[in-house]
Amino acid sequence: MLAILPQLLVSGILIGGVYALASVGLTLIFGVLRIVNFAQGEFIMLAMFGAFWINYLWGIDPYVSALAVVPAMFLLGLLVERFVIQRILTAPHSMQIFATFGISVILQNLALTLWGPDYRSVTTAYTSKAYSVAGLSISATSLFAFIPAVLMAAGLIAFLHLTRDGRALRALVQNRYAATLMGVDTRRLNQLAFGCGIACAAISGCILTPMYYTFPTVAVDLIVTSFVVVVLGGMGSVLGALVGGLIIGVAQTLTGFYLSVEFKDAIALLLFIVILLVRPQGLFGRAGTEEMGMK
Amino acid sequence: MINDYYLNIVVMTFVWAALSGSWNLMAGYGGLVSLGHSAFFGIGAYTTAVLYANYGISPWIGLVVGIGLTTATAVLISWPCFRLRGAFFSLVTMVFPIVMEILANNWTPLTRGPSGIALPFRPGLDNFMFNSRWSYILAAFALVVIVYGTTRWMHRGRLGLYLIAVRDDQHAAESMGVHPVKVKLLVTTISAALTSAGGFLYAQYILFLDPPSVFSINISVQIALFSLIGGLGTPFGPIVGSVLMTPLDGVLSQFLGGGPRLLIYGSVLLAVVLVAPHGVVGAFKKWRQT
Repeated sequence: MLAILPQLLVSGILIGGVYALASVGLTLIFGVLRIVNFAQGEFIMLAMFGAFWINYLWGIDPYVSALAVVPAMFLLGLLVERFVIQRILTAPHSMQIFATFGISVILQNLALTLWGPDYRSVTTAYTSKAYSVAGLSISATSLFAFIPAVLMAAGLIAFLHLTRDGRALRALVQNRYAATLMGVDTRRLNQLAFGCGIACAAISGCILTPMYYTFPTVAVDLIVTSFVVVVLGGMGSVLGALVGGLIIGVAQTLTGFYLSVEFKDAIALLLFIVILLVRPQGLFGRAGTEEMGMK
Repeated sequence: MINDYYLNIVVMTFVWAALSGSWNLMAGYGGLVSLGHSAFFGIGAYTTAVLYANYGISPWIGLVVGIGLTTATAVLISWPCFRLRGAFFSLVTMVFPIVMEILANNWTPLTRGPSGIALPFRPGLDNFMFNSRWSYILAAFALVVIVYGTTRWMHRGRLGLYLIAVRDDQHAAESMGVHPVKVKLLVTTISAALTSAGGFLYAQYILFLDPPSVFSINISVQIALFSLIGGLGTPFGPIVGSVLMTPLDGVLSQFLGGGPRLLIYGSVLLAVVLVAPHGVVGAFKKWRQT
């Protein structure tokens, strides 16, 4: 039982990269806009369908199709921000929840209506390929998902720390009111943050396509895990999403093997409650953050 | 003209009004927007069904045990959640029905897993099963009255005011001597108990349960949606919402599959939030004032 532990850890870390990837957009949108985007998983689902159809129709590799899917999703993000998010920024939080939740119901069932409930998959040359390193087997698709996940988080952190817009975004995360007084163009940056958040979802969608099934309710599998990851890592923290993703990935792989596959989601929930009780601001969140978003 | 089809819609209108009204207590007054009420609903339904179908225990006892079990679960799971507010509270509540569904699917000796439980139909008041749909209408109506009465009592009463105070500014309310956790816990318990009774009624009426039919997120959405359409935080809102939407839903599900139907639901949800956040009751009040 213990001999397989290193293998489980490696698999867990790799799958954790995917979770991190799915959670980064969520944490970015929350950090800047103080809105929990319940539709984040559905945007990932849309990107997966985008990558799937491009592959199905023209045989283009899902990783390559990201070049088309990501900008398209970024534009969609801007539209959603303009017509929905902008109008609910100051609304009571129950309305904010219902707005993004409504978007999630719409997108999910739009996909269901257009493409049916079938599980589809993209088969590429590397789908079932695995590398063998020091007796550990590493699947190519999860490795290809892990690397961009880390790169994306690194890129985002670099963007937030090194560029002017990035610094303005961080100022917004820290204190919206003060940032506005300093002349930060909140309107434009809100759009940028939401667009980038959706673009992150699109990247993870394209990367997930070769390793996962594409179907309209795929978000249900993803979203619970990514919420746990975001809460664990600290809401609004990109680094937190990365670390949180890895922890959840390892925890789920271990439970899946040593206990039972059915309890994989239950362990995420258990972790969730423990975090809430012990450290509600998450690993990398600042104290009080868990309250800032609510009012 | 009055055939079973229409009577069925009347029963379901009342059941949904009661469920939505119970949800409204938490969300409308306390700002505790639960997206997991199907967990309470399902526990209520499953407890009665399991006790009756597996052990032949009267549904009346099932009702009481179900309410006890639901409130106990509600207290246990919501207590830690009160540390979170707003959207984060909703996030966590969303997870519970998922866990319940996993549990119901896998605890086969008790719940019979994915194949579901059929309740043997033995009509009689002692089994709370009736030949006539009118009896169910009466029972569901009684539940609506109880929920409405509770809401009215809260609306003008001390608990309602405390809750609204905590919802609008927890720190200010606390400094005035309101105990936030206590009032939240109280309203959650009431809401869970009433939702559980709704689940009991559903089980006794439909006579068949399987995990997705009671724990599905769609149930939680529908419960929330009806209150929102009618008017969040008003005693009459959930009833108006259900009276408007349940018959419409009956027509929709007759002609449309699950996808397009929920697509319409989602669009209505978004439209209400953007155009009329105070719902029908709110719009009516505004119209009367001008």
